[in-house]
Amino acid sequence: MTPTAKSPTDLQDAFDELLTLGEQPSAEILDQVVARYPEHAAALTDFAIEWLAQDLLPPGEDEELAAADDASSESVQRAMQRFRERLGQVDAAGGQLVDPFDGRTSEDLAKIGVDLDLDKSLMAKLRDRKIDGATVPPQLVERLALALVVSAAAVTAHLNAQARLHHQQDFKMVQQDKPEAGAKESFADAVRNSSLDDESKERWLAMNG
Amino acid sequence: MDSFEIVRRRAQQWHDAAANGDTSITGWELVQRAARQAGYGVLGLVDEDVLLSGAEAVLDRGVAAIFFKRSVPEEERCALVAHELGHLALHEGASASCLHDDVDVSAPDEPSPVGIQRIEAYGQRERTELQANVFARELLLPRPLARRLFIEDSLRAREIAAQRVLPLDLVRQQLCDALLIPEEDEEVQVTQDPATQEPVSQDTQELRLDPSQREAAEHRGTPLLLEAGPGTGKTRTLVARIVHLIRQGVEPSSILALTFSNKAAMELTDRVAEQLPDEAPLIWTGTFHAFGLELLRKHHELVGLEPEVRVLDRSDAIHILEDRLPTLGLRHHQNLYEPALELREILDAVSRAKDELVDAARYRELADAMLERAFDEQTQKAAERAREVAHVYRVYEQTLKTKKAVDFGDLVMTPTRLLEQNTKLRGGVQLRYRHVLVDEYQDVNRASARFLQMIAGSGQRLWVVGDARQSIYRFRGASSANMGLFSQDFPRSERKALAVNYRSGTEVVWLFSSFSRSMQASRGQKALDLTAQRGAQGTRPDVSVVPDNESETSAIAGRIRALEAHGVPLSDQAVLCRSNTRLSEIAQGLEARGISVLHLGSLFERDEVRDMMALLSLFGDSTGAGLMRIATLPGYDVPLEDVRTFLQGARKSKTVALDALRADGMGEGLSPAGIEGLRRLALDLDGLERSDAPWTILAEYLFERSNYITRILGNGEPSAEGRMRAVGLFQFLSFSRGPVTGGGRSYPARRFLEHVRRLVLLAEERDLRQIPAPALHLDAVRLLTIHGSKGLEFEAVHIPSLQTGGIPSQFRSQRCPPPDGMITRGPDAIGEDPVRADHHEEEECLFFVALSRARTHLHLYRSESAGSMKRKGSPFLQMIVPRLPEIQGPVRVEPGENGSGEADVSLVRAAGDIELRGGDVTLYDRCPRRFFYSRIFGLRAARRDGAFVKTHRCLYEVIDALRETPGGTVLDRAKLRQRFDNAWQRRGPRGHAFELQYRVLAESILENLLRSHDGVVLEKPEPLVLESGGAAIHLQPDVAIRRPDGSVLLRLIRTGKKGAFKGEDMIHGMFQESARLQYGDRVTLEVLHLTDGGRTEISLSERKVGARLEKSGRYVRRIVSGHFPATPDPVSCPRCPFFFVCPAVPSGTLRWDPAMASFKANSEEETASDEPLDGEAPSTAP
Repeated sequence: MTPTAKSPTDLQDAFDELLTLGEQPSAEILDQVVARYPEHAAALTDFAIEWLAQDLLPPGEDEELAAADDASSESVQRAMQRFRERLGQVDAAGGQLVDPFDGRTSEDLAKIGVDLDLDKSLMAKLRDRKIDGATVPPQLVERLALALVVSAAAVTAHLNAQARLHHQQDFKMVQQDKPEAGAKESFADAVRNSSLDDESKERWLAMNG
Repeated sequence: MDSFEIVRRRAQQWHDAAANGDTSITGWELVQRAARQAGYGVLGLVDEDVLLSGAEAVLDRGVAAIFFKRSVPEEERCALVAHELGHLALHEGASASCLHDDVDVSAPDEPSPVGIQRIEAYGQRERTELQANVFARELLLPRPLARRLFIEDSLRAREIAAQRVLPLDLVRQQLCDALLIPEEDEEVQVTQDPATQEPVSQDTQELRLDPSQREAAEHRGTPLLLEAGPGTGKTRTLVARIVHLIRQGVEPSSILALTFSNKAAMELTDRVAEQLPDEAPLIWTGTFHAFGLELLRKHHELVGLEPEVRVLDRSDAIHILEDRLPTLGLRHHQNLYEPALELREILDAVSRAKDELVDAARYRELADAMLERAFDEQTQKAAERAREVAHVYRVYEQTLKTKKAVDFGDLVMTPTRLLEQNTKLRGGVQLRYRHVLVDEYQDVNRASARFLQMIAGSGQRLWVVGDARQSIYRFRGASSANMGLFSQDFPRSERKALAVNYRSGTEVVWLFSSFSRSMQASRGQKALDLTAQRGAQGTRPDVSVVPDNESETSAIAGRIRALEAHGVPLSDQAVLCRSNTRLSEIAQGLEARGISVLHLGSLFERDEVRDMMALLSLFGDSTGAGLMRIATLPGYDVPLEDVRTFLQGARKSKTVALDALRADGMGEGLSPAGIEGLRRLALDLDGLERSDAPWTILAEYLFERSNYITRILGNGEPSAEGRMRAVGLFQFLSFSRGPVTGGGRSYPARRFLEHVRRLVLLAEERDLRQIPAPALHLDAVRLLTIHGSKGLEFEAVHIPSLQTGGIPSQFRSQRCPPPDGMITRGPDAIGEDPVRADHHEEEECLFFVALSRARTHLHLYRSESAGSMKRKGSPFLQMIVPRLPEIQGPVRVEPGENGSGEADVSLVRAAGDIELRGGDVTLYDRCPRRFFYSRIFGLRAARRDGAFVKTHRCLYEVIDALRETPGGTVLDRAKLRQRFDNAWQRRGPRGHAFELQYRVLAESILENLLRSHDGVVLEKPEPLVLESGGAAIHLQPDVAIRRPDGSVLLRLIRTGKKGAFKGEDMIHGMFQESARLQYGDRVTLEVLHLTDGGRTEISLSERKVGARLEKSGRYVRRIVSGHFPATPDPVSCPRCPFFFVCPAVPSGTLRWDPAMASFKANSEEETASDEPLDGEAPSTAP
């Protein structure tokens, strides 16, 4: 199953609310916050579990993180950091990412695909950050930014982030620990593997240089 | 309509829309059209593509596309895409990524209900994938189309697959579903609303609750135990509870609903889905065991397991322990001849211990404490036995650990211990599942109750429902006591009760309520005070009193017909029995009286299933024994004498029978009819190999080659019997696709058949008696055990056997009772007391369950005798006040003239006196049909000897040598030892992992044999001859010793311990009489028991000898007249070499040389003429 794309702002609000309602996560508090933010139910639950786990960590573990944090919110910070890493919502510098594809329907993406001469596989790979951002032609980045109504930098940051584990909630995939789950490919390979006609492929490959 | 039927209907709609009348459309074209119509693109990708991430196919809703591996061949590609379309059509919201194992479009709807599949098959994920697979199959080849192509167009599986470019296995499975399961009406299913008894369409059903249901459904704040008497809408209230929670804003994925069975889990999911289709799939619904398995999978590294947790079922567990049994030094539990049976008992005890969270160390402590307290021989022995179980338990746990495996009991015990010890994990589980609901709480055992404590914490959001009076799984450790302990397990809990019965009329409610007042399970429960919503129905329950069982069947038949005449259809009537044996008798009796019944009985005893097993045995057994049965099938009709000639010919030429069938010159010495029949059989089996899987052989035979199916279906209008045969075949075919335990490297068919034997021997096949869900709509009387009737209801219910020994059933002592203190039922409960108390309480509960299944008509029956034994009425009848009216001489329907007596075999005797051996008559006594196969016909079947049997064969060689010792000499120790060594090299368990231990065992037995004859002058033991029934019966003593006073000691040698052996069997009477005739009064006869060196003198009274001679004479006369009835028995049949062919005998006569046959048959020992993968040797009956 594909995880629903989160709006970081809403999700942060939800986390904040969860954190302000109690000193420790509890089923009661979690129920309350989930009822207010049902679209973030899974993320909130995972976060609460992570928070509880950090709360229960014996002293001495994870010292590096602990030292950097305010002692009173140590477990929350650690939980938040780990959780965001898992969600792929922080970039290399620790800044928050915005998913430019968030909220786009399949019809929206189909239209963008037609406009940009990209097939469904290319659209899916761009959405899931499965193409190495450095190999994507700048022209495409710009046109994509235009179509998604975001900045080119946002698209670049999106593409450069860790590839989305397309099926990260799929229990079986997780337990089999597929190494290729988070893999990326070059734009050229993605084009060659697409269902575009030869002419379109050649055009994209030429642009790719 | 079952949930898969709904899936199928939706797939058929997709098919019709996509095919648009094109009857020859290929699978690939069809799925492309269907995807287009749904607005989806279908794109092939290279195998390594990052979008696939190792999956076979991906449904991506974000871009409205199905991606699949481009390298997959077209016929499989369409199945992949069809599977993803299934997810699209059935599973709201989620994208899907399907691995190779997920996409099995030929997987049956219902996995066979045996072994690990009981647990695994209906996990949330597996269920979703299974639905997508069923959808795919139905989309590509809808059942009505498959049926038409097979029956009307006479196309076979391969032709259909080729024509439509579909996977062959998909076509086979779809034909299996389409042809063998009766078609259901196309009308929308209408069910009875249990709250109102008004018909309500499932699609529009809204929950309506009475005040007690509503109060329970909306309860908040404290743990709740809801007492739900029969028919009070328990499931409705449970569903309402879930719906209420979700409508109150509770996240569906935070709800954990634990049920007692996978079936109940499915039903619950379906019923919630009627109300909340989007949310229902997000709720975790399943059994305690399935949930435990999921936890173990997720946290496998914490408990030393692999990610794909290996779960052993009972058969697996026995298999891994069997070889170790002789090495464990057991004294009380040492049954080396049939270790599986002993291990079954021990593993039951282990399983029971795990139900109580008692590990091997604790078990040992309890056993040691018993030993310390032991005060006499009996208590000492009980303690020693318990210590032996503890020892096996420890070894078993070590073995599981080594193999990184768990068993069923571990699926609850291990995660419970894990959560107890791991605070972090426990907290995580409690946060993830914040609302826990439990159905059928009365069936929870201590381990599950503790597991629940770990999952639900304080239980503030815990909601459980149950009925202590319906607690009928004591053997699994379930106890109504756990309902009593709920308030201790979850302090601050509350109890509420449902108040209205919607199922039954006042008369029935009154009856079971009256009975409940005296039930032990009622202690600590609220009094049963139900209002019958339907009011009085004007039909009082009654008891029919009949002379015997046969009359009881006639009386039941009479009632069924009378009710049918008054508008109660057969499908709304049920006969509920306490035992499977009585159930089968009544099923046969009703069929003989022309009443259709829905009852499979023991699957492996059914005719059509035996036919298929005999067919498989042609592939698994080089001797070709299966031909004995296959020859009887219409279309082959090979005469009896020809079957023997053919099999003997194959044996003489050392040819595998299956190869001989296909060889040129196969017909030598056969009649034209025999040649023609065998030629047809060879054609039907052409191309099939011994290395083929059972399912492949069966599917090819049934859906490609033979006309077996069309014969059963009878031009599309099958008889009631034909329909049940089809259902039996369906069940067997589903079973044939399941995993197989053990069997080493032998041919697949051989391993499969050995697996069947083992299941039957261990009584692990009982779940296969269940009627497959798609067949439940047949218009026939349901025949169920009371256990199987739980949760069901019928307009009319018939309950037979209300007499002593019937209901309640007799308590049977356990071979491995729990150690004192393991099951706590009060301070005085020691030994078998708690088990006995549980048994009695369970019997009451069973009767209560049976009574409360009836809506309007409830009829009880009791017979006054069984055989020559008088029977009193059941004590349970006395617990109903005032007493039920008794009907003497009820209306009866007697069976027709076509009784089920077995025809005799037509023997043509050669001239000469009749000579038999003592062993012949003994074998006839055990089973006349087996005697016929083995001694008269000379049939052989391959058998793989275990290490223990191999050991014994070596010892018997020494006994043979001892018998050959020249008269007047003393035993030559060195020579006999040499003989043993030679035998060991030749046929002992050489190379076995525990060869050394078997050798030590054998040496000990050998020493007993030698020591018993050291220094004694031996006579050559001459055969004794006894004239009986017109035949000369030869009896061979093993040892003869002339004593100094001139008297003679004749000795019979047997392995095993003396134990309770009395030496009063028929054979002993025959020996005694023949010895007397030979030696007069100067002879003594004794049996030497080699395992412990014990001796038993044979000295029967004159009267007893007379009775045994009369019996042997009677048997001889029956043998001569060709009377060989089968005597089915659950223990000896699965061990019989002819299990898969019995009781079939081809038509025609058989030449019999009564002076020779039996001697030769038993002495022939040939090695198999083929090269089996794992040493098989043909054998006659041992």
